[in-house]
Amino acid sequence: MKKWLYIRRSIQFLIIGILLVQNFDKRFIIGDLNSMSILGVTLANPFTVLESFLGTGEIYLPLIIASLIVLAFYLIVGGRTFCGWICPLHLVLEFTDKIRNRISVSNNVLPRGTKFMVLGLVLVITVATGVPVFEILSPINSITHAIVFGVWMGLILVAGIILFEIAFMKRGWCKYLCPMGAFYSLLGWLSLVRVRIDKLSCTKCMLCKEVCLEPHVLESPIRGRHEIVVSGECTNCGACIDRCEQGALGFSFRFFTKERRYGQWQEDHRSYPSL
Amino acid sequence: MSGEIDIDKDKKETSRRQVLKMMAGVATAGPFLYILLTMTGKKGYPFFLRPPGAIQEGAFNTLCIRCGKCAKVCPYDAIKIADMDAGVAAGTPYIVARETPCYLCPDLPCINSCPTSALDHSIKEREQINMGIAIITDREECLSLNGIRCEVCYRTCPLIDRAITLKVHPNPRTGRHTIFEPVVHKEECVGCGQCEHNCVLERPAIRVFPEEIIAGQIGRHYMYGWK
Amino acid sequence: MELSRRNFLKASAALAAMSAAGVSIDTADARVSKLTGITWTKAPCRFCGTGCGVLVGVKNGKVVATKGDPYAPVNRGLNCIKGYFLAKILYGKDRLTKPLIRKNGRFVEASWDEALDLVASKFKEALDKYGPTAVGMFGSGQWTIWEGYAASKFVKAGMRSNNIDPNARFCMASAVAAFIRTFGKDEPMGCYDDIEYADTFFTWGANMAEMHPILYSRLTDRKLKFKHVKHVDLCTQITRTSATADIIILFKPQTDLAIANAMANVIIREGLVNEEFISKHVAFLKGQHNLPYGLEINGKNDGGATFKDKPKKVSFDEYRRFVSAYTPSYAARLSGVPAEKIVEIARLFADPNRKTVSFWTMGVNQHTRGVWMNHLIYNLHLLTGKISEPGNGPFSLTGQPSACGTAREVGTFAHRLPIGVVMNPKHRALAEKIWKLPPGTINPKPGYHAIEMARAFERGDLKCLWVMCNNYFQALPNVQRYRRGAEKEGRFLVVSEAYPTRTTELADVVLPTAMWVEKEGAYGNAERRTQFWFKAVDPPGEAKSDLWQIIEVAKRMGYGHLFDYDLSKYDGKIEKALWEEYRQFGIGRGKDLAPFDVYHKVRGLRWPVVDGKETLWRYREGYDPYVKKGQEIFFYGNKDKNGGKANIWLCPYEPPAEQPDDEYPFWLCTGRVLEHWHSGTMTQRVPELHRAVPEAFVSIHPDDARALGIKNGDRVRVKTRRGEIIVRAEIEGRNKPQRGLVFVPWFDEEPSRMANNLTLDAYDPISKQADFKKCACRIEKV
Repeated sequence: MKKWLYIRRSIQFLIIGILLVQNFDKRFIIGDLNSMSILGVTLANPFTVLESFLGTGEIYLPLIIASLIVLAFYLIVGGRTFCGWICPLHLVLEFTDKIRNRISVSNNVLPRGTKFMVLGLVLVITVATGVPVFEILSPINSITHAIVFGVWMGLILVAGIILFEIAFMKRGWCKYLCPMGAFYSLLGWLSLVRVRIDKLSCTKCMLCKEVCLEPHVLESPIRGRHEIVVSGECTNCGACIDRCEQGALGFSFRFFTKERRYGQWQEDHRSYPSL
Repeated sequence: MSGEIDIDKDKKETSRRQVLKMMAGVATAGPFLYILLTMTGKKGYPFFLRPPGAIQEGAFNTLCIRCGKCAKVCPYDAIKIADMDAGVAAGTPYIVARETPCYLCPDLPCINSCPTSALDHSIKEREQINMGIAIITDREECLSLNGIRCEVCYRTCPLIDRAITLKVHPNPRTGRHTIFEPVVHKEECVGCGQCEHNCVLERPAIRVFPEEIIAGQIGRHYMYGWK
Repeated sequence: MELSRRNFLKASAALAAMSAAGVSIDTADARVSKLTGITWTKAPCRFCGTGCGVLVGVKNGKVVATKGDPYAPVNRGLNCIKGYFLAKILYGKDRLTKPLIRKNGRFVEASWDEALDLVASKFKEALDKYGPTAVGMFGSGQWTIWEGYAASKFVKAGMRSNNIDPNARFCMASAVAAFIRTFGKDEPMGCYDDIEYADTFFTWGANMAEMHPILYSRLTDRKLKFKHVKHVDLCTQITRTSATADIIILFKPQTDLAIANAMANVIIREGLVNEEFISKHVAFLKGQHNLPYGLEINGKNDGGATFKDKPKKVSFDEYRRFVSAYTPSYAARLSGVPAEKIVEIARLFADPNRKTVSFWTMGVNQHTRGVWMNHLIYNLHLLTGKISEPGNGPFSLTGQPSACGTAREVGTFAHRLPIGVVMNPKHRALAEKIWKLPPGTINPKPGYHAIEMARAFERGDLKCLWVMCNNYFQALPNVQRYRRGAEKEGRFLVVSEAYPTRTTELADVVLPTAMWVEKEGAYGNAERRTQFWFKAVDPPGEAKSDLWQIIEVAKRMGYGHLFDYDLSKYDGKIEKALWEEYRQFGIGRGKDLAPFDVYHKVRGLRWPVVDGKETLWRYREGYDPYVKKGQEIFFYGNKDKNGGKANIWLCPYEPPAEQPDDEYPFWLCTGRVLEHWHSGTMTQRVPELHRAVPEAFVSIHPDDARALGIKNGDRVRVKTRRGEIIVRAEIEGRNKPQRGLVFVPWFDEEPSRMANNLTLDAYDPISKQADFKKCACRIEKV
């Protein structure tokens, strides 16, 4: 029963729909994922705003409020929830992954922290040159602008990423290259909504890790070190929850669980071998 | 003989895989190369006319977060969003006056929609707008300058008698008619582009350019005695 | 060969050089055409009454280009922006090319025979059953001269009806009536050359800058070259014409009557009257006052339709006393113009050391007291003797290209004949003689004029109506009423048109018509200059000229004898036959026209053309061949009535038919813009002109707009008792109305933006011309 998958897909397609609908009716929602006005309330993407601020050294007060609203939202629901539930490129690349899975191709990996280095590079270049590099090159913008404005050249960039992921690197963009994903990961370390593991039900079958975008985030919960997924890189996609045949996984809130340290747990469950 | 390894077969497979890998590599590199060339190559846009209220061009490209709301709220669909071939300006809004000029909506919806104030919120009146300056670029083609009673740019200018005025002088060829010359005044012209749009020629003789491209500047050490 | 720009320029230069060298147009054509493949022929512009000369370039059977004719004295190679696009007006995509008959509510293509047979049979049926008042034609000041002449013959000699009236009734009727009542003869006594001699220009309700662009260009040049020249603009809104005036007299609508009388008062009391002129050349008449407005009250006409004035002779003293009531302060109170200004312009007008020209058009003519307003302007010129000499004269400007040449000179009016009126037995006899008709053929009872024709059609008294060369059902005031009338059962409407319009959409039969240089033609412009053109291209599809259509229907109705000329005497041209017959009317009667072939050779001639010489200034010795030596000035039009004097008429101020009140607090004025001609059927089909001014708008004073919460560009409802439109507000645009007045142009055919949804069908009871400039409206933000 892929409950969370269905819910998440609905939200992902809803976002596409919201972007599309302003081509027909502009009264209620306008804008894209950099800034959107919904019924008069202005929202802004904090990463984009950060880029703009670093490039000019100036910020417009209402803009701070607009980005704080969004920031607060992701601090509650999970930083990389943007990636898993909102980002249209993520949706496209998930389907790309399905294509990749049908072909047996070799995989390549990059060091896990690569996207954080990309983030750092982007911010440094923006400060140094005043040019907001990621805004110009963003494949996320490519898709949203194609939907909202009909500009198409960016889709070629997206096509390149798709080919790259099929031929060379499974989920390469999201895992290793996307600076926006890196930014939202940082938020995720503080977010409220987290995947929680019921250690008593977990049989350590590792099926959850097979379907996870960033499997390393599940290691400490499975090992028993934490009761929740603490890593910000978790996209809250719920694939692991759907996959777990023991029902050991579910969504919960960070401060409503009793976090125990590894040692304490070991003491409580001495009969289980350590991983 | 069973158990023998067919080295040739392996070699063929490996080389086939290698060829496939190379093709995949080329195919994958293609789009990125295209994007690189498009972004750095010859631009289709020699300059941009920005929406009303836009701050200075360099800062604008950074402050604009490419949300496109100004383009969506414009009731005339005059604001377009640049594609990747605009390089640094990819995703930013611009106006092509000849297609759809700015009609200077009194409530300035584009400025109000801009979340970053890249379209400066301190601009409240249309006279404060400075999208560019109009100029008669081709004095030979301009019908009015040839004595034809055109002056459509003047009559349809939203700031008639302020941004564009008519200067009259005798027509030397006919000896009995007047040349009504449209003259643009930099201070008053807001660069909306309605003149360029309305010019009845096949290619307009009056065009709007960003101020920094065409405005002259007299030396600060001299002033006209009669002004 | 493909026409490249360089070749075109080369060819233009070659043609200019050859023309300058005295090589006639015809020979120049032949040499030039090898270079570019273009053949050039001359014509007057299709648009306004200025009558600029153009050269039309034809290649492969299409008009590919036009030029201003550099040797035409009117414009010397210049055009306005409408004239610039002449080459495009014939080629709109939806040009009508086949006759259409309405069957079961939809238009079906038909053959000419079928369509013409139907038209003829319907007209004949109505004529037989109901008599000549049941059939009629609404014609045009944009017809060629022989088209108007043939139409007049068809209606008056053929059908024996007088129900023929032109759209010129909407533009020049007041001017015509005043000319006849003042001078005994129609049309200005001066010519455009007056501009280069005048010291003072008065523009009365005339936006010359936009409506007679080339003439205004000449006026401005005169001012530029001679610093003493002054221009006074009398208007109800600031226009582009006011923009260059020295003195602007912004008056409340209708109070021009008071201002002009006050000016006369000042001239008399300050001793600026030309006593000698008055005693020798001026008589005084007083007509009826407290006139009706042609409106229908409880279904009955208030008397305007049948009004006949009864003038009586009065003395100068009576006139002086009459006018003395119009003190400058009285006029100031009525009009809002400061009294000192009225005095100032009166003195300027009458200054004996300055020559004064008055120009006027629709502000004066489209006026419920338009005839009187025309008179008041003549009064000023007659009081001061500033008339009929270079630089001095009242010049009534004509709107249409041939309102003079066709409608007025040929007499395509409900009461007119080529010479005189149907009511006069001598005039009827003359027409019957020239037209070779049995005596008593011509109907002595005047027919329906424009507004009454629409009303008769609405009532059903008029059964068959043929509209030619105009857009009646967009141009009528209070147009929705008459559109509903035309849609009723039992009316048969035939429309001859080039494009689908608001009028063709109501028709039972639509006849595709040739335009401008698609037929051989002649126009007479505002300065009495008759200009001819050769046919340059064939009309598209099956379109045919108005002339051919009229003759074909006439033949089918048994009136073929009216057009049965021995064409071998006329180079095979029916146009020439018609012209030579028409000429007979004017010869010796002050409207002499030259023979047909002469006009093709020259760039027009100003009539009377006597012994091959044109007349620049009429009624004055030395200029006008009808004025004998020693006579000095002779208004021979009135020679049988008062020995040849011009009449000053006593005309009071009377209020307009509808004024602003609490419910409708604004004045509504309608008019045009330079970019579009009339109802826009030609100019709206030129993409560049449509792009420049795509829609009607309403000009509002900024204070009025602010009080209503309206900003520039806001959509606004303009509403009168008769209808409403929704248009964008233009604040501080090209027209700046006075407070309490708004202006809407009428070129827009979109039903929700048609200006005539709003206007009032009141008219001047003397001229029967409707007042499009004054009614009451209200403005609301949408």
